[in-house]
Amino acid sequence: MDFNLTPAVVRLLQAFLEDPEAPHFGAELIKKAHVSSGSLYPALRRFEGAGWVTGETEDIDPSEAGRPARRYYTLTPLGAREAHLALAELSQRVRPPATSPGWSAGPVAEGI
Amino acid sequence: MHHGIVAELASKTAEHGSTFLGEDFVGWRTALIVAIPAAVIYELTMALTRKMSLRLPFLILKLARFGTPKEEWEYQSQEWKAELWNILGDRERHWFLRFIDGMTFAIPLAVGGARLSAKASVKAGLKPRDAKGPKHAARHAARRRPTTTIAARAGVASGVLGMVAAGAASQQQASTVTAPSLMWWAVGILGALIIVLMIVGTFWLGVRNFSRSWRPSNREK
Repeated sequence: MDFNLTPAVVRLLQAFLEDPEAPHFGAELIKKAHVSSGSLYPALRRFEGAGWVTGETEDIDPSEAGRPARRYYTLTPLGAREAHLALAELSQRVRPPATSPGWSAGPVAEGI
Repeated sequence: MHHGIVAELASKTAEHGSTFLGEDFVGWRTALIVAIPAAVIYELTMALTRKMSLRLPFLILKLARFGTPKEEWEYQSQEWKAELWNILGDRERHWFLRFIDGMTFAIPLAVGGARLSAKASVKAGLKPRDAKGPKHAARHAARRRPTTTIAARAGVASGVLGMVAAGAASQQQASTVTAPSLMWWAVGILGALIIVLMIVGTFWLGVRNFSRSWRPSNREK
């Protein structure tokens, strides 16, 4: 993995992993992962380069469909495994330490 | 006082016939004549606003071309334009919401997202020409039309030639002190106007070209 797990990349991987076999197009991923187009496409290029996703241009006739063909991205089996591992590793890394006062039975804020 | 108002209305009625809401026939006729063109102008303005506002995201997206390598731009912009087309073409949503969505999509790409995407693509070793297959490459090659370049060149040439010609004319009429300077001002304004028109025309032709480019009937040309 030659890219950083930024918050946008993490959300994007989560969006892909929600339905690993489904193809997604750009605008759909933007909505699903709450990322901007400026973060989405660089990340998708990196995923494609790493073999985590494959991009396919939609097979439609633009004149019949009344719109240009979109590009769909699908998670590869390698991508699904690597993304899952990367997120699991990240969740381990960002877990609060056992010595954190949050774990002790101290005073609890109201409403929690 | 009451008698005064009655007297005033009576005089109006006598002058212009019966009144309605204090206005006589001439007043209502004038209002109607003004209302019809006003409604037409309003509708035309709104239609134009809708049309222009739905094109603006494409213009913003075109700005992403600056700073993006040509080959990468040609490969990636097709995808972005297709997405933008789909966002703006969602007829179930209000045009203003579509406009906002379109701008939200185009602006991040224009302010650096496109450059980053191209950089990531190069770094990842993706091959732009092969990425969409030979079919796409052939279509793309057929789609290139130099209208924007021609428009840009014609605009610049007109501006420069206009300036030179009028400048030469002003030199011949240099008998007075003020005439040449006024001429130069006029020529300068004219040249600037032509260059501005060239820029606007270039953008407009670019948008028009894109909207036509994906139609199969134009691809074969």
